[in-house]
Order: sequence, then structure tokens, then C-alpha cells
Amino acid sequence: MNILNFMIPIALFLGLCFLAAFIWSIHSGQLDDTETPAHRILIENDKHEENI
Amino acid sequence: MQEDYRYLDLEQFRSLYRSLQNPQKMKFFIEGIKCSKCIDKIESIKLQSSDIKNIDVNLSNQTAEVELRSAHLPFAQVASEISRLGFRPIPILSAEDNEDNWRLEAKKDLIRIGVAGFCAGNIMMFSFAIYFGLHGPMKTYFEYLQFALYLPVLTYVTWPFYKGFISGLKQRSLSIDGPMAIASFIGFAVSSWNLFRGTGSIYLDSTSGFLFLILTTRYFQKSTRYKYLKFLRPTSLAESMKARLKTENSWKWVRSDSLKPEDILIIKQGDWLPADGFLVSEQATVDLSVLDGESMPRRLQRGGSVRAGSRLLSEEIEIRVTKSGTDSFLGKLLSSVVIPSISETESSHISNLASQVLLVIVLSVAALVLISGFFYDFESQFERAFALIVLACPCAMAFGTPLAFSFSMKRAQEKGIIIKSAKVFESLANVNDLFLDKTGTITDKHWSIVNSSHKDADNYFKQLILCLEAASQHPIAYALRDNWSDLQIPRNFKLEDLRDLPSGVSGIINGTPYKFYSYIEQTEKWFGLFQNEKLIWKFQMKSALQNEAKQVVENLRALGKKIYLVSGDSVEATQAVAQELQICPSMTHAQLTPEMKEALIKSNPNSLMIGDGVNDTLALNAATVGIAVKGGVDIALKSADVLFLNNSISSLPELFHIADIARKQIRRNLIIALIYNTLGGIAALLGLINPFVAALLMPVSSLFILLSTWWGTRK
Repeated sequence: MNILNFMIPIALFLGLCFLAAFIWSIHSGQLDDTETPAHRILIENDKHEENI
Repeated sequence: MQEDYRYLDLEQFRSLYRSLQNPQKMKFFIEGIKCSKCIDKIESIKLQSSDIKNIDVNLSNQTAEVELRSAHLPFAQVASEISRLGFRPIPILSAEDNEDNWRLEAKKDLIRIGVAGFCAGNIMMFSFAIYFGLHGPMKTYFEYLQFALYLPVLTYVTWPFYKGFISGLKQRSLSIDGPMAIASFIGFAVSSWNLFRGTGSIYLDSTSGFLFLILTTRYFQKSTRYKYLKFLRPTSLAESMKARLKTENSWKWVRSDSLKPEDILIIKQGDWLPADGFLVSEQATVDLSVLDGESMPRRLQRGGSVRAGSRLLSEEIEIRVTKSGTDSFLGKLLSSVVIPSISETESSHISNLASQVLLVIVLSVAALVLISGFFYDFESQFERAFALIVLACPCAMAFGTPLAFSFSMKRAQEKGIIIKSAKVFESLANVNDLFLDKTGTITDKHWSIVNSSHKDADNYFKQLILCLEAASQHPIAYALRDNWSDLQIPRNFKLEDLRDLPSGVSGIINGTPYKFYSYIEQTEKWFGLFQNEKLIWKFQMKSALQNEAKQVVENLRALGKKIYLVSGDSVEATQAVAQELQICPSMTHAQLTPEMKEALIKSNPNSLMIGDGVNDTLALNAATVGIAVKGGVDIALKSADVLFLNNSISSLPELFHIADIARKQIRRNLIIALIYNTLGGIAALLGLINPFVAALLMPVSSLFILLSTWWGTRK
């Protein structure tokens, strides 16, 4: 059972990492608008550079 | 057509539109956004100017948020650039924009759900190991881990429940947040007690899992609700905030609430009229669709009265202001009906009452059991009380109702029925008297001329009538202007001494007295043009029944509803329609003013009124359930509870059906929850169920309700 003493903190740590990532994603506004980005991927990037 | 956006940079307007939090930001509603190309087009404007910090387009809201590098830079430039691309940016009044608040709240809720999910998931993992027979020091280790993971649940996750519980107590009512707060706290107390003394069960897994479920369903409800509120954004109001005031040789932008009577305004093509007034120019075509849902443009002649909120379709005109701001028709409309309809919406529901009663019973029984524990076997009584609170807590009951409402509202929306508040579902059950407004609701909006006394009436006659009716807002006058839109009033017509008659007008045109009014001849309604009191032309006008009207009325009768017909129109015209729909004369009311309609509705408690979004606002507001079949969403929902987007009463049986299903579902949810709670409560009291099984069964009941609701309202 010693292996558990090692693995449980790791499992919890990984879980915390995901939780942190989730909170970060909310704060950075990733879930504010779930529709527009799906369309934005279709926009060609090259055009922007031409305009600059 | 290029619009003028320079007003955006005048201080008086800036303060209206820019974001309250960040003065560098302004949000626009963009007419014409459809696809990904549009996003790109608008967002690449930021590459053209170094003034622009960012442009953020939101496709689902059809908005664009513009952020400049400094608060003093011009917004007008960006707006006209967007409009040059073929879109119509409309600035959103920052006070009316509730999106930022919603986002903030949603963020908080999501983080809380995330934390609850993380803690509950991990607690469950450890508790599962214990169920499968883990024992010894490892078991204690796992239990302490659960304890540690529950601490954020006890404090941070349960926080809104504590708050709701306490604010409920302050208002002397038991909030449904109460048992959750108590369950969370007692679950923790009992578990830690058992943990520290080394025997007994730990209930942290199911308590946290349950809180996670409740938070998730609450978030789901809130976001469904917000999606409805989005409809209420009054763009038409924002549009009529600006006015072009005529100055000596040009014009200047002013805010429409600073206008005074007799001011002369310049209205350009596409502008929204900022105030009520009279047409100074020769003629104009206006679109009143925001006010009454009528999509056909209206033609007005010189001297015709115009209303704030309509939109000019023809070339530039000038108007003389009569009323502005809150005195205008639009302003009055919005201010007179807003307050009552909002204050009514958040009324309490049956299930809330039921769960309140149940809550009181459960909590007092639990308290009794707990007190008895002081005299006899404290631990077992404590566990029984806890199991009772957890199992019999009417959470499933409390959330079953809003859940059924949100599902049903969503379904109604898919069918083109916008429902302002869930209260409608309950009110519809008690409604027996249906008041149908005739004009525009069950008859078509368009009149046509029939039975003319001259086969091809002289245009001169028609011009005379147009001249007499130029200022009239009566539906017949609109119908005539529409019918004879190819005619103009000749410039040499001079109208004097215009007077209103009981059912028409009289006036002197170029020295000759004319009258135009409706009269009854052999029980039929005729319109006659009289020259020197002598009839020179007569004709009849008819409006047809809407195709589905007859079927709908029959369907409603089959549901056992009493159908009344109300109208501002003449007795004969109303009776004719009533006869066709087989509505008996005693239930037909004609020649009613808006105030009389309101009084009639008020004298019939539990009535449903279906009518026009604008002319019938008073009656719609007075009715138990008011349904608008016309009008812009924002205005119609200010006075009515329901709006039919397809502008036809054919949605009415559908609405009854949906409400019926919603109520049945609520009843089913209540019964499921009641049986579940009662059986569970008794079992808990008898000590048949230990607190752990109880806490495990609680989310199951919520899940059961969720599935049942989804199944019951799926079609």
C-alpha cells in the first residue's frame, strides 16, 4: 500500500492543476462567448498581415 | 446609405452609451451580422487605425464591443467605418445592458461549480475505496483526506446557501437554501464527530455531491432565464435618443429628452423619430413596425401626426415637435406599464409554498427527534434526525418546478412564443374568459374597398378624402392611404376648419364644405363623401378573417373556454365577425376605447386578453394573462406576458397545451418528490435508513426529477 502514499498526492495535485486551469479559463473569458470563436477559426490569417 | 454617427462623440451622448466600468469601451448592436466573414470584416477595422485598441464581435448576441486607446478618442469614426461595410451599428444604452453583470455572476457560479466538482469527485473516490472494504490506518487516512477536501465545500461552495438562508430568515420565510445550508453543516458536524471518535460513517461524499448537483441545475436555470432577458434589450429606445434640431442654416445633434414642443426637427431617411409631432414637409412614408408590428409602411401627408419610435423610409422630412421624452407616445407607453409588469413577475409558486410547509414540518420533526436524543440514545437519534433532514429536504420539490418551467419556456420559444415569466403557466390554468381583440388579431390587417357606388371612382374624390383624413391616425385612414398610395394631395387644395365628427371628419376644401364619415344603411356600414351635405360617393370596406381564426376559436371552445370579442370598431362590423366565429352577441363588445377595454378586463378576474402590442397595452396589462400578437419584442413584453412572434392567434392553443404540460409535469414532480420524501422520511425516522444511504438517495431523487422533466416536456 505504500505506493498509495505516493500516488494519492499526485492524483490530488493533478486534479488541482485541472481545477486551476478551469478557473483560469473562466477568468480569461474563454467561456464568455461560445459561438463566435467557432466561426473565427474559418477566417484566414494571412489577410490580417496584408492589412498591416 | 451612410449614417451620421458624429453624435456619439458629443458629451451628452457619450455618457449614455459608453461602458460604465470602462469609458474607453462602447458596445454596439450590429444589424446584419450573419456569418464568420462578418466577424472578420468588422474586427479588421482595428487594423486601420491606431486609435482602436480592440473590437470584439459576439455572433450570438450580434454585438460588437469597441475599445479605444483613450477615452477622448472618437467613437464616431469606428461606427461609420462599420456602417460603410454594410452593417448598421446601433449603440447600446449602457444602463440597459445587463450582459456584463450576467457574465460576472456566471463566472462566480462556474468557479463555484468547478470547486464543488473537484472536491465532490475526489471525496467520492476516497469513499468508494472505503465501501469496498478498505480498513485499518489507510481508512483513517482516506477519511481525513475527505475531511480536508470538504473544508472548501463547507465554506466557499455552501456560501450562497448560507446567504440565501439568512436573507430568507430576515424576511421571515424559510428559504429552500435552508436545508442545504443545514445539511451541509450537519453533514460536516456528524462526519467530523464520527471521524474524531473513530467509529461511525462519514457522509461527506454524498453531501458534497449533492451540493454540486444543485449548483449545476441552478446555473442551468439562470442561464436559460438570461437568454430570455436578452430579448428585452430595447434597441428602438436607444435609437430614438438622438434628434437633429434645425438651426438657422443647418442642424445639430441633441438628446431627444431635451426637446421642447414647437422645435423643428430634421429627419433623414432611415432615422428613428425621436418625438411625437406633425409633418411639416409635403409627405412621408414611415415604418411603425416597432410600435405595432405592422410591417406595411404607412404614408402620411402634410400635417399628419407622427409618433416617436417610428422610422422614416422616405426622403428627408421636417417635423414640428408636440411631445418629447416621457410625454411622447412611446415614452408614455414604456413608463406607464413597466412598473406593474416587473413587480408581478417574481411571485411565489405553489411548489414554493408546498416546500415551505414541508420544510417547516421536516425541520420541526427533526428538532423533536434531536431533543428526544438528549434523554435517550443521543447518537442514534442524531443520525435519525440527520437522515430525515437530508432525505426529506424538499430540494427536488423546489427545483422540480423551475426546471419544468425552463424546459417549457424553451419549448415555447422554439414554437415562436416568447414568455416573459413562468407565472403565465400557472395563470393560464385559472383563465376561463378569453377576450379576443378583433382588429389585427383575428381579422387581417388590410382593408379593401368593396361595393363602390362608382365603378372607378374619380381620383378627385379620393384626393378630397385623403386631404380630409391627412392628420388622422385612425386605422381606416391608414388603410385609405395604403389603398391610394399612388395619389397625392394637390398643392392647390386648401383645407380649413377641420373638425372631428362622431364617426368621421368635416372640413372646407377651397371654399367648399366636405364631410367624410361612416353611416349605417340597411344594417350595413358605408363610408360616404358629402359635398355641401350631398352624398357624392359611397363605398364599403371589409377586412377578412384570418384563415386560422375559426379553427382556433373552435379548439379553444373545446377546451371549455368562454370566448369574448372586443373591438374599437363599429357594432355592425364586430357583430359580423362574431357571427362568423359563432360568438353570441352578449359576449361581443364593440366601440370600446382602450380605457373601456381595460375596465372590461378588470371586471372579469382571471381573464386572458389577446391583442395588439400597442393600442391594447392598458387591457393587456390589466389581464391575468396578456398576449401580444404584434409589436417589437421589447415594447410588447413591457405590457404583455406573452408575445406570439408569428403574429397570429394560431399559437394560442399551442400555448395552452404547453402550459398544460408544464403544470402536469410540475404536479408529477411534486408527487414524486412528496412520495419520495414521505417514504424516505418515515424510513429515516424508523431508523431503517442510515444517514449515509439517505445522502446517497437524495441526489438520486433530483436526478429522477430531472429525467422525468426532460421526458415529460420533450415534445
